[in-house]
Amino acid sequence: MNALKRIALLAALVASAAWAQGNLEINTPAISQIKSGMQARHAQLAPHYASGAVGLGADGAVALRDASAVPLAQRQAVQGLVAQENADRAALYREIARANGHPEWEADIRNTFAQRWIERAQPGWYVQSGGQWSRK
Amino acid sequence: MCSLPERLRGVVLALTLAASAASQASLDLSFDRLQAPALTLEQVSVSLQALDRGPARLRIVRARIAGRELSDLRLDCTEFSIHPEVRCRGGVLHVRGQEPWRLEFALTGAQRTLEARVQPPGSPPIDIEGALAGAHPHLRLRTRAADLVRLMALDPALQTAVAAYAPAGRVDVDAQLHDFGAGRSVQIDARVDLHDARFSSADGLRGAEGMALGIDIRARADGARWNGDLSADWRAGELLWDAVYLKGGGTALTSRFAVDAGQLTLTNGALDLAQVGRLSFSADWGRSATGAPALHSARIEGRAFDLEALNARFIAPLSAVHGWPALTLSGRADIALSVDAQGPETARLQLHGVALADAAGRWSMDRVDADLPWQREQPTAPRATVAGAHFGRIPLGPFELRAALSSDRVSIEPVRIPVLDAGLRLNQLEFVQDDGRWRGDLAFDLEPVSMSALSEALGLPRMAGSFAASVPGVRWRDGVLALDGQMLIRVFDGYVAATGLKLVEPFGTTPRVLADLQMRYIDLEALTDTVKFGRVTGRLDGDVTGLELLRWRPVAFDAHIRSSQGDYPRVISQRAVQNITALGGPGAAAAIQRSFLGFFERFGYRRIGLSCVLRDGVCEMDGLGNKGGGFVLIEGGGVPALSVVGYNRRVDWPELLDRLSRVTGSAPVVR
Repeated sequence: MNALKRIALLAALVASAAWAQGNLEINTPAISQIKSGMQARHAQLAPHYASGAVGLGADGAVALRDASAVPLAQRQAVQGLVAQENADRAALYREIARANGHPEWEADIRNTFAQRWIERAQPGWYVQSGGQWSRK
Repeated sequence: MCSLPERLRGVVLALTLAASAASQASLDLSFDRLQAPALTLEQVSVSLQALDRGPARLRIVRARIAGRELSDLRLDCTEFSIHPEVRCRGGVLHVRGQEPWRLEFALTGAQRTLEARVQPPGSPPIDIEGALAGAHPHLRLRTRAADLVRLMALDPALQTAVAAYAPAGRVDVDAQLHDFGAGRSVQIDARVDLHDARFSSADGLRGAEGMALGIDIRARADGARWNGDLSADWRAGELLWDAVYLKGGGTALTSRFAVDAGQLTLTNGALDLAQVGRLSFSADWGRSATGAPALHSARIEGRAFDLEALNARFIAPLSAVHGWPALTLSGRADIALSVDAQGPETARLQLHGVALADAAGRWSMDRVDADLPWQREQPTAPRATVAGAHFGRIPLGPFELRAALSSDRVSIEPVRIPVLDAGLRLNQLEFVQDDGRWRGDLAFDLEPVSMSALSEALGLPRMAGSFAASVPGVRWRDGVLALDGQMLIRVFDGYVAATGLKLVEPFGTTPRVLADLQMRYIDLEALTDTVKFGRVTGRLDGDVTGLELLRWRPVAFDAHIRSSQGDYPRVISQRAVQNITALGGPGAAAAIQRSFLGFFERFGYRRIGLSCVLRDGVCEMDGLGNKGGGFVLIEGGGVPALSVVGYNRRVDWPELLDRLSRVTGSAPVVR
């Protein structure tokens, strides 16, 4: 259980850092690199969270839930952003599990992060629960 | 007596003429059945208030018009006449379950010349004209800016089929029907112009906006079968279909077709893609065992496709969506694909004078000519010649690849690829599918490459000696590239051996390299000459354990370097001492006085030893032993002897790299 508490704490820290540009550090270079990539991308994704085009999935990934909120010509680009973000998120969960010496924690870390991302989502963003999307 | 249309072969059941007063006559007619080409009316009754130009009401219990059945029709005409032509003005047609339609018509003469205007509710009028009888019966139907949604509502099956895509738009139709009637083959000649058309799937990943599309259809009936030609010209608008986004203009399709209730065949098809090229195709759909439409076979062929345009319009956007690295492409390609009921059967890609490069500039291939066939059931032998290539800054000479390809195995025949003044001998490159997963095996030798050529190519100071490597076995399993045994690189008269070398997800978000390195008997004179560090004579051994590179940059290692054992000259130049001192930063100092240093160009030493443990961006340094609060890096020996002591044990790794590039990049001046 201690292990899971540590993961939860870690999730809180990384989630804060990735979104709020906080000074909290997760001390592996891999995690820092992934995090900075996600921070850079966040500015591009934020308007799509706000419009509801992209939502925060229950599985710790982001999803293109309503592409029609984006002009036709830009939908491909948003699909690309979502694909890159999810690749980074998967790498983040894997790296945290690895950095803690427990690669088998990856699924737990993913679940913990999924909850944290959703808790930290801004009002108006879409979040997924039990397969259903709702507006926060 | 009123003249009934001659071609309306009906049976008059009852005809009553009730003339009440001389000033007013009323007429009631009933017909059991009236028939004309593509038209059957049952139980028709006509009530006239007057014989000429009076109001009239037609009731039809059942009507079959062009295969479509309607019931309980009522037509009220404000002005109806039978002679000399059957004419209805100000007509309103009521059909059960639908809003009323406006309808006016006139039917004249022996050829039953028809002029009609129908206006469905909320839609622009449809003009119909032609001759229903005679040697060449024909009808022309025209409408402008009709609502696509209302048009499709006329065919409930079509409406249901496309409902998920919510289509909308305006349509101009100019259709002509020739030679209808018993014993004739009906011919259709239609022009349909779609404008301001759009559709969208619920998730928005398939959609179109602002579409302008012109469609021409010419077809002739042959029993229940239609044969004809179709052409479509996509003039404007944008289309998104999953990952493919296209803008209209210059995209046109033509094909011959044959269709009946159970089969659709397309032949002589051509799809012109603006600037890219022309795809020719044929395809054949039938019905599966369950009765659903199913593709039986298809052939697609394209010649001399412009790869630059193909990349810009299709490949690059697809790569972006999937997060694949972007490519630059030019040259021509022929493609061919055949599909049967089980799926793709054969495919062939031929490249002609293709230049292919990673958009980020990491690699490139020039003048690639290739024939890459694939068959589902048979092994094939793809081959490619490459006139030249670059990998990073390393140029590769011309080579030819021959491969064997089957459904669960790809292997490349052993080949020598020229690299600088030597060659890379690819002894094995094979991918095998096992339990649904692909695994790969690689073995190669690098013939000795002269360091002078290599260093020049890499933009490094000119180096002496040669560089060779032998890699007996590399395995690719689940995203990890792992070296079996040892990779040996001969360099600076000694060697570097790598063991436990692993590349984790080399093409992923965070490529990681893990390895242990052993360096033995490296000639320091050759090394220090080439990196312009200042001459040091001697031999060096080193061990780097737990080396971890992340995104190709070191993040952790335990490195120890030390003088090799044995008997050899041990001399260090004044400049090298200065540089070693500079590496230690402001806290490091030479254990000799500057004035004394000034007298000599070269010094003797007994041992060199240095270690760096890199963790979290900090190099924890140590040397041969402690001395007066510092650590000994060089232990003096001989005459004149010199020792170097470092005092700064924790050095920021980026800072150390920065200092290293400064001392090797610009020659320090010793005063």
